[in-house]
Amino acid sequence: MDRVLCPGEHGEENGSVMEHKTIPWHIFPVLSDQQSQGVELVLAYAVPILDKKKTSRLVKEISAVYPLEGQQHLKRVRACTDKASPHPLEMLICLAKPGKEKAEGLHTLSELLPDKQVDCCGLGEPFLVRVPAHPPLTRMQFEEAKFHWPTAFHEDKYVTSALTGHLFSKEEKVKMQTYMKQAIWAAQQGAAKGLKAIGAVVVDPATETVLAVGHDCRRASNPLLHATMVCIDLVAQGQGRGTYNFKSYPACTALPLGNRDPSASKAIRAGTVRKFESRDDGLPYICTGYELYITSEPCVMCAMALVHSRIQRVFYGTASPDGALGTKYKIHTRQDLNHRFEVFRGILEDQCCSLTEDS
Amino acid sequence: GRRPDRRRRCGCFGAGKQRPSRIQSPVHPPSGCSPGNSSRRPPTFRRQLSSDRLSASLSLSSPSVSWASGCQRGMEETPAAALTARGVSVSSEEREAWMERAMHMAKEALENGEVPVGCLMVYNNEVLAKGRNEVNQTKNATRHAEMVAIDQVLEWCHRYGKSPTEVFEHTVLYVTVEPCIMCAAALRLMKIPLVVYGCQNERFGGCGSVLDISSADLPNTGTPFKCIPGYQAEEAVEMLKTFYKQENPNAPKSKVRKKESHKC
Repeated sequence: MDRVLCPGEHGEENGSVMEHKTIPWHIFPVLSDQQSQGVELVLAYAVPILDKKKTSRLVKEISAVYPLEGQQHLKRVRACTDKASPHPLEMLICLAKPGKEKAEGLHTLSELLPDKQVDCCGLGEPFLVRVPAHPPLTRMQFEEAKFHWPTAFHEDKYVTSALTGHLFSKEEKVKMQTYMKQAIWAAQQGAAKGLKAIGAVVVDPATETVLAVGHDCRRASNPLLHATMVCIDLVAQGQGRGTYNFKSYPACTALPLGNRDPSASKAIRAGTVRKFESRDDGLPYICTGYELYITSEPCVMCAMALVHSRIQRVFYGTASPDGALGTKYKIHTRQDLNHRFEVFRGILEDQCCSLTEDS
Repeated sequence: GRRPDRRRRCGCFGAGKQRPSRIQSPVHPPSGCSPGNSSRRPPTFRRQLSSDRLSASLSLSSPSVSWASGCQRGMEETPAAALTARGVSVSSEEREAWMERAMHMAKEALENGEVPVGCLMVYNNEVLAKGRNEVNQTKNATRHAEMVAIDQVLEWCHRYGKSPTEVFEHTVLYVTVEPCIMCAAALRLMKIPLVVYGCQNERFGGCGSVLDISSADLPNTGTPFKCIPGYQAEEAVEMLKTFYKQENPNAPKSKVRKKESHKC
């Protein structure tokens, strides 16, 4: 079942001979801190409901006093977790101030609920519980949160399928592998010239076209030509502009505009795949809608360059020590920047990892 | 259904909005480095316009805007004059004179319909580079003024047979706006010791406004650098505001604007 076709690598093509290989890597979404962290808990007061019939009246009255506005994700009533308990239900009253763990600091029912507003008949004495401070964003967080207190969960199916590894079909993974192999090939070409073994490929997913292939070109004469920066400039060169001259690096190539499949570009205009704004010349803004495949995680400079270039997705093989798309920062998830994008780690991780180890 | 699709288009797994991840650092003007302006808080330039429109145009342009916070950390506050940062020493008179020139460059850019950001790289009292934003002309969104200036210095090194490492380690950057996150990382990689700038860049700033790359612990990303913010910050902000009152025709249209234009 796991056997898939693996198209020949760029540079060592031998036509009809196709290798049969399994996909020996896993793809991991690099989520925001809010999505990937554990569930934060806060202390709250709950009370046993001794008389089940009074539940709806009590919920109404107590909600009027303590609307729990910041905690809309918490359900007000839960079935008692202890089966042997004499009371069937428990109700949340309000959040407790921190430092209330000691028994002598506990509020009594009459302190929490002033007589006039709530008829406390049918309630037991309050006790402290830990409840989730924020709404769960992922299924894993939901599973953890509801263990402490029942919560509402508006599942984002897209994130769930990303986390469970079901976001991409086998066919898509084969394509990813092909693109990453091209990036690895570029890295090897760079390494053969004494450069850092990092390679990258820019793909237009709408047309499945490789727009640029590049490798790290940093030397003393230009220390900032990281593979990402090279690829961003190569995309610009494909549009007839750009800044640098990569003539001495034949592995760094851009697909010129004229060489693009015209039927593919027609498909873009007819379809609904591209909702983003095209420029007057019909081209998207810089790298809008494009994907970057890179053998190792981009640094801060490159990650922010990708924000400025409006990349849509980044796939990298292996993490970097100062990486900015997961390791040290998650620049792609920041709400305070004007563009966010998706990042996935792990494509051909072993091969990508051995590239950096060799150099 | 619809939600995943929409998310896919705007990317990013719909990160939760309920917990802002913004780093907030207090804004304190460093004493003694902003003569005549030290009692006032240098202004910030942010979201006076539709945020999308502003950001689109700003990133299309150069670094951007406002005034610093985290990056003064570790700066010696010599009230008198000379400030020493790893291999460079500049007096406050020098700083003011160079910033004056950077501001003048920004003004010129504004008059010519360009993003009003000026930057100078000064080595041994000599201007090695005058950066100007080249994003539109190169269709490369990374061609911010600082990146352009770095390339000019590298070219100068090449022409005069100097070692870039030696030169950059003794070069001061004067820029009218706080460098963005990308440029701040690039400046670290080049091991520039000192950056003097005008207003804070609230949208993309890499010296404390959004992230503090200038002083972060990143052992594999060059060396940290010192910042002196607040030089003629108000003027720098005013120029940017003037520029962005007109639209940047090269920036992608924001969703807000598209909706507005449909209504009309």
